[in-house]
Amino acid sequence: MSLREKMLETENLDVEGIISQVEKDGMEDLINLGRDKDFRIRWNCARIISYILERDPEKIKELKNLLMEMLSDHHRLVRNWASISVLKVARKRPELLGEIAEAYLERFIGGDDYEKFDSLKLLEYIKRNNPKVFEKFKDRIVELSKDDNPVVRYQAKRVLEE
Amino acid sequence: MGVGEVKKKPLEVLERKLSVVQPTNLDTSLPRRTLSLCPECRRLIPAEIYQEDEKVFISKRCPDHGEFRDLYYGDLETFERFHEFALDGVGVENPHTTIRNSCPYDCGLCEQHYSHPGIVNIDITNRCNLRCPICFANANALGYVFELDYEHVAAMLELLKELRPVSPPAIQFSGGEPTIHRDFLKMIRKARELGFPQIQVATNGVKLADFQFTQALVDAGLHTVYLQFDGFKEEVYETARGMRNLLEVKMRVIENCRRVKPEPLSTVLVPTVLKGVNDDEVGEIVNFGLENLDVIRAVNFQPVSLSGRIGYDERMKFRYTIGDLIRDLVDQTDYLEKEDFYPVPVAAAISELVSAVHGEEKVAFTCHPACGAATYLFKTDDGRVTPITRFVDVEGLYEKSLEISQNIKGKRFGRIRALVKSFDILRYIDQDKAPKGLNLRGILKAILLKATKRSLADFHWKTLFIGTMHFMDLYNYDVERVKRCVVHYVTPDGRLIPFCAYNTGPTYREEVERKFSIPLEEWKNVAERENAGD
Repeated sequence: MSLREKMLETENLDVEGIISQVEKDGMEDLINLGRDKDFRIRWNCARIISYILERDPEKIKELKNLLMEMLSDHHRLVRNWASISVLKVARKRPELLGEIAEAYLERFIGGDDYEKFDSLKLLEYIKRNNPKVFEKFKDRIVELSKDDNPVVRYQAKRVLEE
Repeated sequence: MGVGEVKKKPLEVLERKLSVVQPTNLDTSLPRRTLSLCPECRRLIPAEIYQEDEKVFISKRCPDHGEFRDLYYGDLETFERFHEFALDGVGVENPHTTIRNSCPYDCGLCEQHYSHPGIVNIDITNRCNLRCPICFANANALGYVFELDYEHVAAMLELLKELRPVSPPAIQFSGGEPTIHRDFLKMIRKARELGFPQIQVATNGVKLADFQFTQALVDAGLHTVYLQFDGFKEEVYETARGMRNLLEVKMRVIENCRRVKPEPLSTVLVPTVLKGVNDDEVGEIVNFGLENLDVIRAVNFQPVSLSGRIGYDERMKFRYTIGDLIRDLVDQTDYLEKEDFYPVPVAAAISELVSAVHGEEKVAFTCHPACGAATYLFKTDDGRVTPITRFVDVEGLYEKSLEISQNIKGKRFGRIRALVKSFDILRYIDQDKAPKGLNLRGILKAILLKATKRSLADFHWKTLFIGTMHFMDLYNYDVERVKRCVVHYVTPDGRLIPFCAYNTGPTYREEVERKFSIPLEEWKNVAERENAGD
């Protein structure tokens, strides 16, 4: 079964098998599949990437460009999983995010409520490590601390308080 | 008729802002087309729902994974009768997501969702105190821990209170096993403080075998225990739940719920039913409920939702639908008939009437007619059991409620006049045939007059509610059901996701849990540090 075929098995996605194959053959095939025209392939690529980055945040160096594209994918599920991948890195190694952090915030902080929430979660993780980005978005965070959505408000206040 | 085309129902309900229901645009004919998901790749694919041998089937084809066929509903007659009561809801006024792709990829809730939430689940942990061999969702099996802190849950509860036009009246803490969360009591207190009329916990019952804990739940403000109860065969619990003497534990829980002060803690038995495993016990479970009516208020059967890659023949060994359940209940009891059961949206007609009379939107359970069914049973002192349909003309009540609602809303009625008009529905209750001591007209009058939880509670206290919800799996998935769902999950990032989209549809449960989880080993280290007081 090719890597592409494996990526079509959403229900029984062989996370460990795919990661082993990627470790053996390198990241190139995965990156190419992350740009596939079929959203199911991109969706499952993003899912796999979230597992890869949780285990080894350093791998974001190779996946940075793809992740930036995925964060703007027209399919919600691809974007959602790309967001999780970024948050996994931010939680463990925020300093590795570099320019992704700002791009992520630009794309998500004005989105649907849960995307606003994700932006605030990212800000919580990177605040100490990247005060420049935090300052850039501070007015927006203050605004979100008065958002209509209580969950967004809660996370905004948490970012401001910590 | 193609997918997306609509068939208008002849019954007209006046559409104005106050309405909580509207005529359904569901195609209720057979065969009909719908959209489903491929069980392998979860891509959206066209499907057909059709009748065969007095049953209803669904078939679909994925270009990559081939043909799939499954039993959709085990009894054609009930299926068709239920569709006559289909009503759509009015959705939410403040949706949290925009439509970018299509249902069920845009949850939620999006502006196209038909219903507002009737009951909302809040998963507070994926940890559990049982090791069920059939469960693949707990922290040990997954290798990560998903657990929310109190402040976060409080914000999620506040989100629910701000939903418009109706805030969900019922919330259910779930998991994992929610009772093992260290702040669980605090969360119940918060829900109570926010004024939720119905606070429930879905539990395996292990913690409630301790009386002090059960009393603490009551003191914190819990209203209902939603107790996993798979019947009376010890071997079923051993096989499915991996624990001996679990039935004994359940019995102790029921006894504890009976003994707590100031009054028994309302308990709902929740059997997951699998064909060939415990479908022979459904009647006995209802009888058990009737024998313990002082504490057991409801039995809510859940036909199994199948997961994983299973061939058609294997699936059919276990596949159990609402139609099958109703047939078995009729066969296994001497007081029930098929016609005693009605689909859930029947109750939405009463909601519409109460909303019209009081000028305030009330919750309406406008789910798809294939999602659930229910009836009420009354037991008199002489042991006689009478289903509600023997003294209530449910169809008359349904139609009259909608008709009066329309009349009230179309004219300049004052509240008193509207109330008097609404009392017309009382004639659909034949008080002479009602069980002695039950003044259902009086109760219904009180519901119309006060529209409070207390007036509803008077009704529920004297009855056993028999309900069933058949949650979908990827084989019988129907997007039209998702669009009308009234049972949702509130997620920590502030979304509301229909039950069958969260657990079965796109990868929402995995997505949410991954976003907020930490690896099991890391969690253990933190927990150890906290226990050590660091």
